[in-house]
Amino acid sequence: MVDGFFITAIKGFALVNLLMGFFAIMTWVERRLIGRFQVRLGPNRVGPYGLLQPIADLGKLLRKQSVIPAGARPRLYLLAPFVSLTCAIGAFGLMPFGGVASVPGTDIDFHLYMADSNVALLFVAALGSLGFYGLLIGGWASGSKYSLLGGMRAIAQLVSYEVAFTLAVIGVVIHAGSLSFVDIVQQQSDWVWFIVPQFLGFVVFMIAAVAESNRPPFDLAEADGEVVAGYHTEYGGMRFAMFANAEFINAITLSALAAVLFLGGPSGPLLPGPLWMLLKAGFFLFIFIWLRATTPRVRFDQLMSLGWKVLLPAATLNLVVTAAFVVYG
Amino acid sequence: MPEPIRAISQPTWGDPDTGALERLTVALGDGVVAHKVDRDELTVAVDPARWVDAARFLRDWEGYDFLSDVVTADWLGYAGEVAGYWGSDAFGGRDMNRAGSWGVAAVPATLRPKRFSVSCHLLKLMTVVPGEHRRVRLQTWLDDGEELDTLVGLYPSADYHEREAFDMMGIRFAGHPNLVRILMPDYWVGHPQRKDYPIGGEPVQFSDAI
Amino acid sequence: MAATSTRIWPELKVPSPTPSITEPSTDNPDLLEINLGPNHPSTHGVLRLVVRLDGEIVVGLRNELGYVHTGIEKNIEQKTYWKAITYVPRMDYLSFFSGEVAFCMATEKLLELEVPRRAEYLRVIFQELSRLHSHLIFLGTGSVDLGGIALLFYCFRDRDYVLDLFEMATGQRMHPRYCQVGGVAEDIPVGFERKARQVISYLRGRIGSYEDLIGQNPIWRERTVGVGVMPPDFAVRMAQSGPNIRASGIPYDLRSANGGYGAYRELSYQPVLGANGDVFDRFWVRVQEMRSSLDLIEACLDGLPEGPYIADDRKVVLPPRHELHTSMESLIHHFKIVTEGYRVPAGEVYVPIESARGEFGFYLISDGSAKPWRARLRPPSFVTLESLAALATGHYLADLIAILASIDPVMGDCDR
Repeated sequence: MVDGFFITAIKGFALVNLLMGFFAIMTWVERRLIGRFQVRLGPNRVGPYGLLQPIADLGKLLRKQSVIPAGARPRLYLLAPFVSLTCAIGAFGLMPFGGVASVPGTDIDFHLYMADSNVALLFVAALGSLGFYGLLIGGWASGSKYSLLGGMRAIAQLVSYEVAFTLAVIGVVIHAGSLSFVDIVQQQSDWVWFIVPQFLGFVVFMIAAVAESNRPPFDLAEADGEVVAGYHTEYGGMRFAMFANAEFINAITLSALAAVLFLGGPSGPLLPGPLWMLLKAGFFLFIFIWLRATTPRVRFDQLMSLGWKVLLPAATLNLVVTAAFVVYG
Repeated sequence: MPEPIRAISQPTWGDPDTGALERLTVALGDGVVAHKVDRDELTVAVDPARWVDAARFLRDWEGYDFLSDVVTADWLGYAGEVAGYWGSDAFGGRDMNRAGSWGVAAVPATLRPKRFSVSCHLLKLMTVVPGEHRRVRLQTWLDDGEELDTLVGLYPSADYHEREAFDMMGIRFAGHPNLVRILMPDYWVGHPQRKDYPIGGEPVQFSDAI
Repeated sequence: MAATSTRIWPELKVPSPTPSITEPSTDNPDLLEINLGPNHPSTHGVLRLVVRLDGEIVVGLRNELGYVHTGIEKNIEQKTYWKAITYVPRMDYLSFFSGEVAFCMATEKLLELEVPRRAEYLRVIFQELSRLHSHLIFLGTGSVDLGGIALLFYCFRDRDYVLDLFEMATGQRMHPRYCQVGGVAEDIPVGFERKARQVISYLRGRIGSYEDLIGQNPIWRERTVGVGVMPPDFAVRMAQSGPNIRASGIPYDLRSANGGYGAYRELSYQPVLGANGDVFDRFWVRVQEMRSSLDLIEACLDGLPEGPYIADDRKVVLPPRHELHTSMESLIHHFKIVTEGYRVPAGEVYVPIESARGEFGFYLISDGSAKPWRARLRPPSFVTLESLAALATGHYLADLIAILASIDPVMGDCDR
């Protein structure tokens, strides 16, 4: 905690709620954008421009009957969405949105990040992996074969892409000499955005991030044409919404991570830090949505071979070159 | 100046392949029971016992390599007093008041008395230049309960057709690897395409499950 | 066997006797058996596939059909010929007009009725339009099965333009019952040609972008090239027809075979052929067929002959509407045809035509009465599904979905 207990508590409360609000708006943005990509309108009936659509969806999902399938293992079945959502939100907590700010009208200063952990990157990666347990547990505990297949796919995907993902990030860590986000951002504003020296790492990171967040074209764990809805086939109502929520927040987290690691995070001229962060993360989110609207889905073995045969060597090469550059350059 | 009214054409079967018919007759002898050419369509009726032999001859020696279809028909009460039927005994010409009964003459008379016909439409596809395909209808006649040898060994695509024939008409194909119902549920009683299958009502399913 | 001719056909290469069911070769207790369908997003209706999975690989497959069996063939036997036309397009509901034409041509063959040239041309126009409709839906839903949702919306929008043309000419968007025995029900309205040409030029551009979308997308190519290969030998053995067999490189198209039928005899048409018979080729052939359909429609519009649109045979064809008010004889004819139908000479015919999914043959037996004695459809989807197990076994589950999409079954056509 870089601030006092109360400020941190308030910040935490605000962050979770802002994140949820952002998530709600982003679902609207996603649906509108995909509508535009697909020559239709998207939701436009509830409220102005359909802006209240997320709230209407929430109301609908909340009123759904709570169903636990007969073949399910109830405790694990109920636990799974929480695991996913908790990990997703927790990983977002360490994102830096700027430096020091003060509450208007007072002299209370606070930092625009929850904590400056010296293992922040590791923490985010770890929580991202833990979140997959929610998928696995949900897929297994549903007692449905489609769910099981989806859960299995999710884990296999995680195992293949976590390695390339982490190796791609280590290049940035070597440059920055720190695992702390605050240090990484500081390094970039002092020197240059890491996308320039780490372009290969950036590409590997982005591809792995799409796979990590289970988004198309790598959404094999919930491929609707094959395994119906994958691990959340048997979930309905808010439980399904929590999975969807976790998945989208993962996408937001990874967008924010990409912004922090490669585009200098909240640093930028003129605009305040949080806004820069929003713009940069929004750019990556747009790419996520764009991919979803346009690409077909890859096959399971193609995903694996891409991960192990292309991304992993590329990330390793990037790591070696970066290390050599830092040591001898 | 309006164009003259004239028909272009029906989809042709090609010229009737009478050469194949002759060779088949030589090969099978008495196995070929009858034949007719009606509206460009060559129908060869064979003895049910020589059904597979005839198909094998046509496939292997005449090049009829493509099984379009296997159709069965139930001729029970054909040209008799059927629903919507009334007739006079005036033959010839096509008018409203003509009898339906001259249909009897249009099918091979020697085998007609049996109840079911099984026909397969064979096509010469790969063995001719494109555009000179020939079709032939290989036909046989069965009574209720008679078995027919399966064509699955010759034409794998006969599988579903024969299952459907069994399902709908109740014709059993000896040697078929998986002769079970295909369209109707497995527990179904009766064969719906038969002419004596009652129409106009059926029990409501699953009504005891409420 | 008589040695009057040489043996033509080579030895069996396709596993015999029944590749329509595949069983796992090993007795592995860890196999997962799942039911794809009857309620599944990508079974195109209510097809049920019983799949045995070894991990992600399909090792056993069995089709369960009959979920939309509605006894249409039996129903047709209870209807007079001219009422039965309405039933037929409900089978293959995507290429609906082909069904009407097949039934009407079979009836005309029994009647030996001559159809005016203009009617034949109009039939070709609407057959090709319904082929376009079917292929557009095929492309859209097939794309969804492969995970690309955008193409679905593009294709469904374009499909609506095609249906607009149907609505303009026939009053119905689907299942128009526009084809009559003897011709078509009505002449095309004023302005139809102009609108049709607009739609054609619009669709030409769209099809160009679909070619790019599926032909140049690396993920699409990865997913489809070399998957579910149907060798020519296999395609003939399993009696595949339509785009499926043409994707394997066999030029079997009833529109050009033996000179074609109807107005196709006067139009130059070359079948579109694929090279490899894989999923990609089956998609590609259909997209190219959309192009050739547009060319055919345009050629028909260019060469549309003047003259009557329906045969002038008052025993079969309904009299013109205006005569009902002036001519007693016409009124009687109208009454007789509508109430009891027309008698059709006895005989049996099999009339195959080329629908969007292949050889769509109608087998009719008439006993000389006003109702068909036996009506039988040769369902292309039914036949094509036989090959699914042999094609998909050994592939990944995702490939099974791609192969199923690419052979384009319509369950209404399959189960009837």
